[in-house]
Order: sequence, then structure tokens, then C-alpha cells
Amino acid sequence: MTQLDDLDLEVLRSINSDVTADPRTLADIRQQVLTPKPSRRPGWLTLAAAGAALVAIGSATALALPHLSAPAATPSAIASEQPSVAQFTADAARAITLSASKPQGTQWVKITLVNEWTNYTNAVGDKVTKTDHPHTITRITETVYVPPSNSKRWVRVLDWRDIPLSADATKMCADDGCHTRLKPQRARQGNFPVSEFDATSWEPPRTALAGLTADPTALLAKARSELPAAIRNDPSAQLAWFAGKMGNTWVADADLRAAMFTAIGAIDGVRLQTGVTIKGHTGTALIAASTHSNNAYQLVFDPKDYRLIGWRITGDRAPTEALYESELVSSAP
Amino acid sequence: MSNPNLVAELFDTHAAELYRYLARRAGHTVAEEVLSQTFLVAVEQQHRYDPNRASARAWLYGIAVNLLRHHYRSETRKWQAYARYPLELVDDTADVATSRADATAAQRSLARPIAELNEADRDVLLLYAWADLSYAEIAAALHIPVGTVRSRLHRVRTQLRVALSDDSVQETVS
Repeated sequence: MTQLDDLDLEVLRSINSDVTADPRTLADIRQQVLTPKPSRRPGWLTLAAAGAALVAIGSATALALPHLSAPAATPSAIASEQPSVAQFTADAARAITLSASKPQGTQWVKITLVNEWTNYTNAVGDKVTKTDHPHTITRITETVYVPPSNSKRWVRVLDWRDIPLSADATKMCADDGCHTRLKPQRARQGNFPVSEFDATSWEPPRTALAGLTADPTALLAKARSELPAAIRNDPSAQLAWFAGKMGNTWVADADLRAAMFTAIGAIDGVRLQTGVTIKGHTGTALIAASTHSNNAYQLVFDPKDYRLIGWRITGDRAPTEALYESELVSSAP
Repeated sequence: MSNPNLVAELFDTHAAELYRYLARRAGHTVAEEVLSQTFLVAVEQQHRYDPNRASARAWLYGIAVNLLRHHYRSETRKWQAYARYPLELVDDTADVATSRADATAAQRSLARPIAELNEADRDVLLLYAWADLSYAEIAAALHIPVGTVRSRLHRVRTQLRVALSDDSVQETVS
């Protein structure tokens, strides 16, 4: 009998259990290690946090840029009145089917997702301690370059930065470094491997879209079926499911995106709030409070073209916020 | 040790497993660096390796874990990020989606308390759970008594159990 039997050792063992070693990587290391070299010593490198964990719910692919999109359908709500969720999502569904913008010629679409949260823990030496004051802000930036044609590969750059908010944190960053930027990754059709640190940081567009139909009822049923039993009927969980899919289907099927908006409009417990600002950008938020935790989930949309601006998760000591921005560029790294 | 090919043989036997362990803890970039350093240290210290005192696995894991401590903070951030989102997007067929979704929720529930473990406790826990080292091997790898391994595992188990009971996602919602 082990001391961990009743802890469900199998759950612990299942974490990251699909990680494998690339044979070429091993071969390179073997050669490096076993090839005699003059005066080589192992380097106690102070590599600043190799690898960045990007915990994004889905990742934006190319998108309907506001300035390139066809005029959106006029929202039925008067500006001074707050529309209902049903009105907003119905307007969004209509607008989406009217626009299908793509980059022109040799332009790439550069989409940047910035995800931030505040840490109240300090890892110093061999200990993690909780702090009463904010210690750092973690800012993870994922930049995806969508090519103008399928013959080119998508490019992704991951960047992790810890921003010190206290004297301890400032010293920690000076000692250990607080910034890591991975070299660009390339993949056909956006099929990047999962981020190094989290299994759900990127869902390849093909995978994200698999089995999705432009049927709001079917989409809602699929959302519920793919959520853990305990939160299957949690409106915030359902909203988050759609957020991830919407990010991944940004350039895809306009009818599918329209169906998603319609499905969101049918989730019990979602409310709407206009004039919500996230990182300096103001939009209309669809909000759902979790029935299972203190968290609430806000999806913020541009009220003119219904582009997903970003999201916010509240209920922790400080909110987590993510913001999408996009532009057309002439090249990728 | 008189085997001139010792480290090469050890690499061929254990490198893939070590790499997996390191990558699961701290990501592929760190795993590449630490694995390389581990075997460079093994090359330098092979004359000190005593098979009567520790299995080759335990010896190598001990070197690797010691090197991994330089990346403790980045590993902690990884666990914190993993724990951060309670909502899992599962891409799977309907037949297995439910059980996998539940399992993934349980994984995330463990990630937060693991993120808060100190270095020594995390090493013991994951050498036990992921590297499948015995108590004796963990003790040899970390140069601590077997009794200390037992007590640390017991303490970790209690901490995780307390954390899970405060943050369970496995209760039924009616």
C-alpha cells in the first residue's frame, strides 16, 4: 500500500503523460555530450525561464479585420439602451454572414493575443510563498502570423514576461531574469504543437472545427458533452467553450460563426453589459457567472463588427485579462 | 568504473526516459538543456559512480533533479499556468469525452497545490509518481534518508488532499 493510493495516483501520473522525446533531439544531445571537446564544462546557465506557458483558451487565427469587413448589419438596439443577449447575438449572427474578409495579395495577418494575470506568490530559492501584495504580473504574448496562401506555413512566436510589482520581485528578476521569448515555430495550416507548458494552449484549427456544424442546437449539445460532468451546465464553462472555438474559427465558415453566436444567445445565465473596457478597448461583454466557483467569465466583443476583442475572468484576487489585436503585415519572422 | 563506454550506454538506456521526465516538469526547452548538462556531469563524474550505492537510474535522476532546481521558478510558473483555467476544452469523440473531461478537471485541481510545493517536496513527489523510483532510489538520488522520503511523501499527500477537498470539481452538481 503506497502512501499516495487514496490521492488517485493515476490522475497525477496522467498529467503530461503524452510528452515524448524527439529522437533527433536525443541524437543531437548524444553527439554533443559524447563527442570529446577541449575543456568543456557543464554550464550552470542562468537561462531565463526557458519555455513559456501560454494558457490561452483557443488561439486566434486570421480574422475579419474591422476596417476590411463589409458593413455590419445595424444593431437593432438604440445606442443609449442596452440590447438583450438575444438581440446582440442575433445581430452578430446576421453581421457575420455578411462579411468574409481576407488579407489581400501577399499580406499576412498578424494576430496578437496578450494574456495577463497578477501573481500573489513568490518562488524564491526552493520555496513558494504566498504574498499579501501583488508580486508580479505575468504577461504571455502569443503572436500568430497567418500567411496569404496555403503554400506558406503559419508562424507562431511565444513570449513570457514577468513584470515585477514589488522590491522582492524586482530583485528576483534582476537575479534570474523575467523574460523568455521562444524562437518562431512554423506549421502548416496553423497545426502547431501544443505549447510547452499547457495542453490546451493551442487547438489546431482543423481539430477545433472537427465535428462542428452550423446548427446552434447541435453546438450547444456538443459544448455540454465536452465539459466535465460537474460543470456541464455551468454557463461560464459553456461560454468559455464557445470562446475557444470562436478564436480558432476566426477566418472560417461565416455560417458556423453565426451559429455560434446564436447558440451563445441560448445559454441560460448569460447577460450582456455594454461599455466594458478591457485594456483600453471598449466593447460589449457577454458575461456568465460560474455556478461552481467564484469566477465569472466575460467575452468582450466589438459592438460594430462583433469581432472578439478579448476576455476577462474575475473572481480571483485580480482578474485575468486577454486581448486580441490584429493587423496586416508584409512579412512574418 | 572501468567501462569506457559507460556514459554512452547509460545515455542509450536512460536518456529518453529522463528527457520525458524533465519535459513533463519544465517543458522541452529546459529538458534539452538539463538533459545535456546531466550527461556532461555524468561524463565528468563517472569515476565517482558506485553501482553498489545507487542504481544508474537513481544516479542520473539525482543529477538531473539537482540541475532542474535552477529552473524551479519557471517550472512553478508552468504549474501555476496549468492550474489557472478551470475550464477544459476537450477535443475528442463523444464516447470518451466525458471521462477525459472529468480526468482533465482532476488534473488541473492537482496542479495548483503542486505549484505551491517547495522544491524538495516536489522532487520527491514527482520522482515517485512520474519516474517510478522506489523510496530507496529516491533517497539515493536526493542524498537523503529513506525515512525522510517517506515523511515528505506523507506530508505532500496531506497537503494535496487538503487542497483537493477545498477545490474539488468532482462533486455532483444537481
